[in-house]
Parts: sequence; structure tokens; C-alpha cells
Amino acid sequence: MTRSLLAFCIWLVPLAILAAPNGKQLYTRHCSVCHNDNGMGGIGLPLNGEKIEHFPRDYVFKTIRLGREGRVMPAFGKLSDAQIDAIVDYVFSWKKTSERAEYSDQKITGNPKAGAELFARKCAACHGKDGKSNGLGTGVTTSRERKFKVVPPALNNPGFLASASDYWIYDTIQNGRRGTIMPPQKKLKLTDQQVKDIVSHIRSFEQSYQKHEALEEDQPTLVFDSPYDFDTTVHNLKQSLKGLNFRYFPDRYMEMGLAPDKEINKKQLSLRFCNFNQLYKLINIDPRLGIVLPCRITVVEQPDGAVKLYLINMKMAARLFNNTQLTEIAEQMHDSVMELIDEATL
Amino acid sequence: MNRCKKTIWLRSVLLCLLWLMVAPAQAENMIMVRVHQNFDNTMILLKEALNDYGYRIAHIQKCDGGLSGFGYKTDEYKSVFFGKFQEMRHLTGTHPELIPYLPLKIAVMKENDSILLAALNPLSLSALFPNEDLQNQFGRWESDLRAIFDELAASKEL
Ligand code: HEC
Ligand code: HEC
Repeated sequence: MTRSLLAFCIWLVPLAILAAPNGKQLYTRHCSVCHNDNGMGGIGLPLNGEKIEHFPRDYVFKTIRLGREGRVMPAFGKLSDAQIDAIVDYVFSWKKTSERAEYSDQKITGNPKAGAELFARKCAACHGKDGKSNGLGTGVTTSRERKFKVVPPALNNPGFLASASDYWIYDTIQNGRRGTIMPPQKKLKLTDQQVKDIVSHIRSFEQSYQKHEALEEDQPTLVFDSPYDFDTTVHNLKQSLKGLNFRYFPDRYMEMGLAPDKEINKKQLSLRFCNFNQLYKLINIDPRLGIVLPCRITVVEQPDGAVKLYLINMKMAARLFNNTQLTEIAEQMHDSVMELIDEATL
Repeated sequence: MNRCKKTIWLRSVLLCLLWLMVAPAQAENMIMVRVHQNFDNTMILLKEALNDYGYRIAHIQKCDGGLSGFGYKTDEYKSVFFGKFQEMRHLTGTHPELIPYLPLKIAVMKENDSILLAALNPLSLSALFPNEDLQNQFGRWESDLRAIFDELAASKEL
């Protein structure tokens, strides 16, 4: 009896090891695309370095669970608590420390008005007037020439505010972030009370943060009828593109490259264009943007001879990037493309 | 149990059920992977993997010429357009609203000494195009893309 119990238990050991989530694997799968292997940073902030010693467990756990809405980092709602714990352990293993800093979860009561004034003078140049960051894009500058080597994170972000306790924010301001441009309290010549006032001001972003409204009634694809025949429609569009200063790529049939030329449908033509000034700004904001570029209008002749134009609803597609800066520019671009369609189908 | 408590209890059970129903439906909007190869080798491996899964590369858009002119330090940024001819013909006929999202695309970009691949998660199209007959298609694309990305992530240096 005892022997079989023992055998059973021995059997369980490898099972338990197999079942325990592997933090390194999970990190590689879910985080390294943005934070890079070993946390050097990329589209995401660097995670490695001295700051790890100052990260409370709870802050990292909640940051993973809640993400950073509108600031690229997704919420990992589907990972189990045990999986997130394993990721946190793995991140912490980069910097062994005898005792991990712990912070009181008491509220700090400062004067948010005084804090707002200080924030505008001491922090806004980097973190933006309203805390939404003063840099283009996120994370570390790699291939892209940008104003900041590390783009200051948004402090008005609901994911950030729900993850960070008052005393941890207080500690971050006191110490700054060594090795980065984020200066410590001493350098900014702030008194203890002033730091508390600033914390209260940062906390007040919870009330002033504006969520981007959902676009539920919108369609992912915009479809327009052209009053002209196929060739005239294509010609008109090209004229309008030239007029609006878009750079224009060679036309492509939709099916081109997928089958021999003689088999492809010649009544599905994509006109492709880009505004290069905007493109450069956009790639700085989100290097993944190539997924939806260049802009494209596809002209299709239906079997009954009617001609339709199809294009992506940029306002909607931009939201998939979880990047508010991008969404705002996409909305402007949307308007100029609408102008183009109006002109060409008048 | 008084009535108020009961409704609260009922409501929380309902909320949990709702959450369970909704949770699996939310998908990551992007599929991304980091590959430890140089740019050219990544492109070779990507082409091979796409072929293995029955896709053909329709074309490769160089996005770089313009970018380096604007102070972008690397020339290594390309978009790969790919698909299957019959699938594309069928879908543009039955669901022309998918036209702007086809052919499928992968962005390949250099970041320091590794390469990032990114694609829209085809499952995020499910939310945009809820037609029932499309869901299998989106699911197939998603599992192919994931498998291809996993292969590249696991690839040994060429
Ligand atoms: C010169 C630019 C600069 C100034 C000035 C500056 N910061 Fe920062 N701050 C940064 C950068 C960059 C980071 C991210 C550094 C890193 O982790 O690599 C950061 C990080 C932070 C964080 C951590 C947020 C997070 O998501 O990790 C807080 C909190 C913060 N700063 C608050 C402040 C406050 C409050 C002030 C003014 C008293 C201030 N900062 C002034 C650049 C700046
Ligand atoms: C799609 C890109 C992306 C992914 C994937 C991602 N992050 Fe992030 N992460 C970011 C960005 C961007 C920020 C900074 C937000 C800002 O600038 O406001 C961030 C911030 C953080 C922070 C706060 C850092 C600080 O200095 O306070 C932590 C911790 C973090 N991420 C951990 C993770 C972990 C762990 C994972 C994997 C489970 C992960 N992230 C996945 C992009 C990402």
C-alpha cells in the first residue's frame, strides 16, 4: 500500500514540473516581441536594469493583466494567475536582490493643484502636459531617429494608474530612473511635500483621462459606387492622387503574382499610394504599421458593369494597434482620402 | 437569503457566465514574433514556410527607399503580400468587403540585431466580419500564421 502510494507520488513529480508554467517560455512568446529578450526594450520600454529592484511584484503582475490601453501594450486577459506569476519570476530573475522593495499601499494626500503646477514645470517636457507622453511612439529608439532615446511612458494611462501604488510612484520620482533621462528628486530640487503633491496630481489623471469612444456602428470596409466606367474611374483617381501630393506606386491587379498573368482578373485594380511625410511620422509611432500600408483603393468592375471602390476603414483598422497617437493620425488621413474619393467620383 | 442579496448573487453568476462566454472570443489583434536571423535569411525562411503551407507570395513591397531618405537608419523593412489564388478568387466574389484586407500581409522589420515579424491576427477580422461562413477561414489563416511564426522563431541560424 505505502509502496504504491510512493510510486504514485513519484509519478506525480514530473507531472507537476510539466504543469508548472515556464516563465522564460511565456516571456519569449508574449513579451519579447516588444521588450526584447532579456528586457532590453524595443517597441516596449526596457524592463531590465536597476529599475527591476524597484518593481513591486504587484505592479508587474497588474501591468501584464491590464496592459496599457492606447499605449500599445495589450492586456493579457487569457493568461492564468500562475502563468503571470511565472513571467514575473522570470523578469525578476534578471536582477537578483536580497529583499524586494515593498511599498505601503496607503494613499498619499498631497495638494493636486500645487502638483499640477509642478508637473507642468518639471515633468511635462517629457511626460506631456496632460501626462500622455511628449514623445512620438513608445519604447526604445532603435532604427528610428527620434527625439527621445527612450520614449517617456504615459502617466495618465488607466493601466498604469491601476497598477502603480501612490508610494511606488513617490519612490520612482524620488529615485528617478538611473541610466535613463528620468531625473531623481534631488536633481529636480523638489521637497518631499512637492513630490507628494505631484503624486496627487498624477492620481487625478484617473478622472481626466479620455477614453477613445468605440466605433461600433462603423463598417470595416468602405464601399463607394462610381458613376463612371472602369477605365475612367481609374483615370480620375490617379488625377486626384497627383493633386493631393500623394506618392503613388505602380498599379497592381488584386490577383497578380498569385496565378499566371493570363488567368488573373483585370477588372480588380488596386491603386496604391502614400504620403511620405506622414509615413515617416507614422512608422515612428508604430513600426508595425507596414501591416496596413500602403494605402490602397481597389477599383472593381462588377459582372453587371457597375464600378465600385473598396477601401479599408482606416479609423477602424488603426484601433487594432492599441495606439492612440496612431488612431488620431489615421482619423486625419481618413478625411483626406475621403476628399480624394469625392473628387474622383463627382 | 433576502431578495436583494439574491439578485446580487444571481447577477454575479450571470456576469461570470457572460465573462466566460466573451473571454475566449477576445483575440490578440496582432501576431508577432522575434527572429534571430539576419534580414535576408529571415526572408528566405519566411518564403519557404509560406510555400510549405500552400501560400504563394504575390509580391514584396520595399518600404525602405523612402524611409532611409527620412532619417530611418535601416533599409531593412519589407511587406510581404501572400495568398492562395483560388481562395482569393472565391472570397472576393462572395465577400467583396474583404477586398481591402487581401492579399494577407506580413511586415518584416529589423530592430537592432533581430528581426520582427508582425501581422494582423486574422481572428481579429472575426469581430469586424462576423459572417458565419468566414469564421473557419479566419481560423485557418490564424493557425497557419502562428505555425509559420513559431517555425521562424525556432529556426537555427543559417
Ligand atoms: C527628461 C525627461 C523626463 C523628465 C523631466 C521626467 N521623466 Fe519620468 N520618465 C522618463 C523616462 C524616459 C521614463 C522611462 C524610463 C525607463 O524606464 O527606461 C520615465 C518614467 C517615469 C515613471 C514610471 C512610469 C512607468 O510606466 O514606468 C514615472 C512614475 C515618472 N517617470 C514620473 C515622472 C515625474 C512625476 C516627473 C516630474 C517630477 C518626471 N517623471 C520627469 C523621462 C522623464
Ligand atoms: C505590443 C507590445 C508589447 C507587448 C507584447 C508587451 N508590452 Fe509591456 N509595454 C509595452 C509598452 C509600449 C510599454 C510602455 C507604455 C508607455 O509608454 O506608456 C510597456 C510597459 C510595460 C511595463 C512597465 C515598465 C515600467 O518601466 O514601468 C512592464 C512591467 C511591462 N510592459 C511588462 C510586459 C510583460 C511582462 C509582457 C509580456 C507578458 C509585456 N509587457 C508585453 C509594450 C508591450
